[in-house]
Amino acid sequence: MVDETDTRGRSKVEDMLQLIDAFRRGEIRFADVLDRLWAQMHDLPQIAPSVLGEMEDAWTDMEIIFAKASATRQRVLSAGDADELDGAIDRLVEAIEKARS
Amino acid sequence: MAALSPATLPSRDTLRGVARATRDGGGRAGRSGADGSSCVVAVASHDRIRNGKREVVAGYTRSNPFCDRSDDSAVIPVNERGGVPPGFGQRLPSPRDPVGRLRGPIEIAPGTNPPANIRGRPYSGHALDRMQGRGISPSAIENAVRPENFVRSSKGADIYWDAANKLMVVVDPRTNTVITAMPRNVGPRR
Repeated sequence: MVDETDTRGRSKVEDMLQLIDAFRRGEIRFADVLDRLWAQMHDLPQIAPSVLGEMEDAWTDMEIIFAKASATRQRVLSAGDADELDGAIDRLVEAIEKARS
Repeated sequence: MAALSPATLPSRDTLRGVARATRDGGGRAGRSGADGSSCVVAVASHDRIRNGKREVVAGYTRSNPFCDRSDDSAVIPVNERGGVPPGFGQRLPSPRDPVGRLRGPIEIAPGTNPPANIRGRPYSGHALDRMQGRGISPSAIENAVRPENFVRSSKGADIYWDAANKLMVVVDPRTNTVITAMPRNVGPRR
């Protein structure tokens, strides 16, 4: 028998990964992906607090990049910020993978 | 004309008088903007009665982009009713604006709030959007931004975490501006 909570969790994890893929393809705005990822990570059932902490840390790094760009009315990220963002997204994906396993 | 401190804010009645005087061309406090509109020193404020005492509640200061003075950040136009003409300058936050809660956030479209200075601390528009969406008050922010709550610097921004209120605040140390704030149950990594 398949555990319903487990199935729902896996589905939400897949949704998060698909959302990140869509963002990397440029189909979703930065502000939107931040809001949706935050909501989805807090909707994951039975997630270890340490893994949630890793997700929140990676998300926080993304949020800081957005907040700084927003405060200076920067419409395009600098190359340095874009690299930082890539790194933060990689860390978030790693944490999401941990939640899946 | 210097910006007024909250203690010297004009009451709504005073604003009405100033606006009327300015409109009639005799107001000493008023002057004309580039488009001919009236500009007077004012902020969004209203009177309220608390514990039997009348007090002036200060709102947010805004500059009027259409006025030709650049030295006064508290200049906005007021109409004869003491209000800001619609569509003039930036939107002013209102007590009627919806506010979310920590456990029940609401979505605030990015760019809803313009930057503002609250009790001497600058806030970015994004920070105010986050605060409105999650029901985070400026006093909670002030409570979090203390040396003992400092966690680390990240990408040129200082992260604070208030363990009691489970609140994370990010400040740009160069300008002391709050750039974002979010509730977090688990403290950020050090």
